[in-house]
Amino acid sequence: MDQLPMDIPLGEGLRRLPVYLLMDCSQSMRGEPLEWVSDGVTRLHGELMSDTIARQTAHLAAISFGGTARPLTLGLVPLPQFELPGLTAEGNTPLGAALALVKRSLDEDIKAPEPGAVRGDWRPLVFVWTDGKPTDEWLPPLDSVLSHPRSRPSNLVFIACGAHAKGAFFRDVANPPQVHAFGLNNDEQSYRAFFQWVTESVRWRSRAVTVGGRGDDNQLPEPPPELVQFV
Amino acid sequence: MPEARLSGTLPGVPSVITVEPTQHQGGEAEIHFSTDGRWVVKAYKNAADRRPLDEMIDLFHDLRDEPGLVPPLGRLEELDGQPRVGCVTRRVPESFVALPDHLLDPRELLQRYGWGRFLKVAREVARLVAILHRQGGAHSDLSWTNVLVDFEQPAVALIDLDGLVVPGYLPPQVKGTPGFMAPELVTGTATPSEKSDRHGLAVLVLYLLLFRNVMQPQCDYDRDVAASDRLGFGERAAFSEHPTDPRHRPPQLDQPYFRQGRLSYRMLPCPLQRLTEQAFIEGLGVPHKRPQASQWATALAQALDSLWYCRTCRQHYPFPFGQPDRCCPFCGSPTEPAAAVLALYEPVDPGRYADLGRPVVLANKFEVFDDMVTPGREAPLNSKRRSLAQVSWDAGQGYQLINKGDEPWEVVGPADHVQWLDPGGSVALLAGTWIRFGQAMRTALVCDSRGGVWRS
Repeated sequence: MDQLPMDIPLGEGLRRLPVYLLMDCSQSMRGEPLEWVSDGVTRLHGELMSDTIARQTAHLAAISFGGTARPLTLGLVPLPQFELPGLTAEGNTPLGAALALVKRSLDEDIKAPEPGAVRGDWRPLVFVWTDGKPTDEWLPPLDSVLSHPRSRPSNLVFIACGAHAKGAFFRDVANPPQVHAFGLNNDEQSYRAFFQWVTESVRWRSRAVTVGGRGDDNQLPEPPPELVQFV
Repeated sequence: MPEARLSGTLPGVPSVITVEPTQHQGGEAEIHFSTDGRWVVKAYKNAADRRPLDEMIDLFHDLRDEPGLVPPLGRLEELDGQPRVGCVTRRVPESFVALPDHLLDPRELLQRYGWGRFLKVAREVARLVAILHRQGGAHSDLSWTNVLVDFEQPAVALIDLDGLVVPGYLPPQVKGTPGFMAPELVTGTATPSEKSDRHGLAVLVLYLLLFRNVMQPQCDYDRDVAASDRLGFGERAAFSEHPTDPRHRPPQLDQPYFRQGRLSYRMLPCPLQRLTEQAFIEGLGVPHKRPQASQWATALAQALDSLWYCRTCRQHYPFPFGQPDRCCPFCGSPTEPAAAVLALYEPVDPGRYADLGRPVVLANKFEVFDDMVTPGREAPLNSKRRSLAQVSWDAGQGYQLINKGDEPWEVVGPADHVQWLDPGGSVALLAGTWIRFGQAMRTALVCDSRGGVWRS
């Protein structure tokens, strides 16, 4: 006799951990870099799915920016329902537009804790990676995200990939512990290490908030040597 | 390789231990594993930590062979050439995993071992905490991160015993997740004690049995997450199945668990239900009314004898004595009737018997064990139990109980007919029959298949 399907309520008593992935899909990412990104996100999803706590806590939203900024998910989706669509590289680097989409999601998709309401979400994690200088106004939208009145991120991490991106523009906004900025080489191993660290950060944070009750912590695990921190 | 130098070590513990170079971050300490895999060295981050490790080591020295406890066994003096404060404990095998991973998605464990295994683990947790309390200490931070379980054996290890409350000493700050802390600790109106431990233990036990925190708030109380949880588990704490306060009642409580429902504490045998109410209703704001760890341990041991089997979903659950309409709490299938139910009575005075309130459900091939009918005896943890009787089915005569013990039974049939049943003989399981299993043993009254008769 087959085991009866066990449709048990998961995530009992757990708050959602929103995670935003902003990925550069501009022209210069065409070819291998975009494949590495696709691989990285797929692997991240698979590894988080195999972690009991992350699987029930983390909710992902993916946004691409290349030519235009587009949401790749319908708002925040539970991990089991997350699916990355095919990525295409085209256009310039509208990081500002992508950050504006994050801001809108913070307004609409995040449930900030409210007395009397259903339990709200943890503060979001935001990861942004790009291989070039942003081509639109990105500082005001960044500010609107970082200082969002109800749901500002606990951590926002910028990763600048490749030679052209090692410019100073991220250095100016780096403000640990809330905002980190790293440089990354444009090769497969570096991308792998980077996505491994993003996975570890989500897993680590899921555990810290769920099991450890450390909701106010905004620590992240040690980044690998491939990520060079801008200070 | 770095070396840890220790002092005040118990016999058998080396005073110099070589540790792995990589350390793991605990909350308040760095964790180093010894290279031989036998020890764990904890180095407290706060160099001014002045907890009385010697007193704790002393408190535990005659408990060090208890496999379920992981106490400090020596004091750390120096690590890698630097003076440090900390302790050494034995290392728990990797097959032991902390409870959150087990409890947040128990499906695999339920499928492999069944709900009864969780009952055994809960009993073991209660037994270990009872030992701590009997020894005069209080854990002070009983939570699901400090309980490591190997479900296969099953075996439990209670860790972080170096934060113990011992006579004359309290930890300098109250730590732990609000979800397991007694309300008076969350609000800061009291300091950790054996009585606040009782709350944490009750939450742990119920989490193991119902797969949820029975004190979990269902709403926020503040715009700040930490403040909201402090209120929800502190000042505004309420039992999720409080008879008159529905604030923390989870949705779908009356639906089967395998159909997006939640397990209610009312699925538990009556003695466990009463302990739950004492812990979370009467005892929520009145710590001394909370049941002691030993009370939980006894009730959980007895609950193992009330388990019934659901053929639809293959789970075991407590037989719903006296409640004919109850169904399997997991899948909702109607409960199959038993062969019979035995209500156990204990001799208190010559000629006077007290109803123990712990009925035993019987089906074909079920056994009656000597620890069920011997006053003062509890079921052994993992070893085999001695069988005194077994149920068999006879097509002509119905369910029979066979005497498999060494003593003759005194049997009084429904028509008050007295007989002595020698070992090897059998008696029909007719409602209204009294069976005494031997001299000074308990007496059982056979009740109908729903256990209805005994509740007078």
